[in-house]
Amino acid sequence: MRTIVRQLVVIAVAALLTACSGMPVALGTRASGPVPVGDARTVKGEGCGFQLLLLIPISINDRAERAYMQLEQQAGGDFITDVQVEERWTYALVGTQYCTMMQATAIRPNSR
Amino acid sequence: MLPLCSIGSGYGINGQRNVFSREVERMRWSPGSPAILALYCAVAMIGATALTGCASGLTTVAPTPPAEYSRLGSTKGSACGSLGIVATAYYFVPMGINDRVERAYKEAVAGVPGATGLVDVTIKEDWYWWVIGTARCVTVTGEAIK
Repeated sequence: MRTIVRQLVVIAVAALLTACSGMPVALGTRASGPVPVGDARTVKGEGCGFQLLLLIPISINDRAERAYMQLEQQAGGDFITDVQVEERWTYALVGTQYCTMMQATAIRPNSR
Repeated sequence: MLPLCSIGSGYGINGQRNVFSREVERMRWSPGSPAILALYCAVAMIGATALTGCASGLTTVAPTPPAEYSRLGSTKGSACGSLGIVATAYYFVPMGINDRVERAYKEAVAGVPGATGLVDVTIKEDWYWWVIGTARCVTVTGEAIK
């Protein structure tokens, strides 16, 4: 019985610790050369999540990833550079809403 | 002495609430009274905090590199901020939370002497609860350039 309780505690602690870690997001198109020349436009993406009560994350940890995915979709495969990030939060009594907004420049190279 | 004390306490000699205390009570919560004005101020301050204090503004974390640059090596910067304080219902006081992305980026650039910017940037956020608040830490990693 004591072993089961210990295992449950370990699982709960591990779950809590991993729940506190966001997803790493690589920003901008990786390139070894210079930024391509072409038509540039602004693209945006946003991801929000809610932290209920003191420590219950609801779509919190992947909001930056979702924001960047949205931005990538808008870019449609074009070169992404000059990525800017805005963090917002809104107090909602029983918790806090967090939103990550990303804005970048998408460049469609002239050669395409 | 007894009548004065009884006025101050709001009760008459016979233990009944007196006219003066009822009047004071009425004035205390009437429109324009100091108590109501203080309440308005508190609500206005909370509203202003909620509306203006809850966004970081756009921060460039993966800038367009110059036409020619040299890579100086990997670097990392992190910055934390919290929302508190006391309990969930009062978690609207920002403590360094709005500029954490900017501070993390600056720390990463400052980590390599001579660096002017970053390329190959990755951003990550961790958070933890510290009983009277929730802290959020942003880590910016990338390659420093000049």
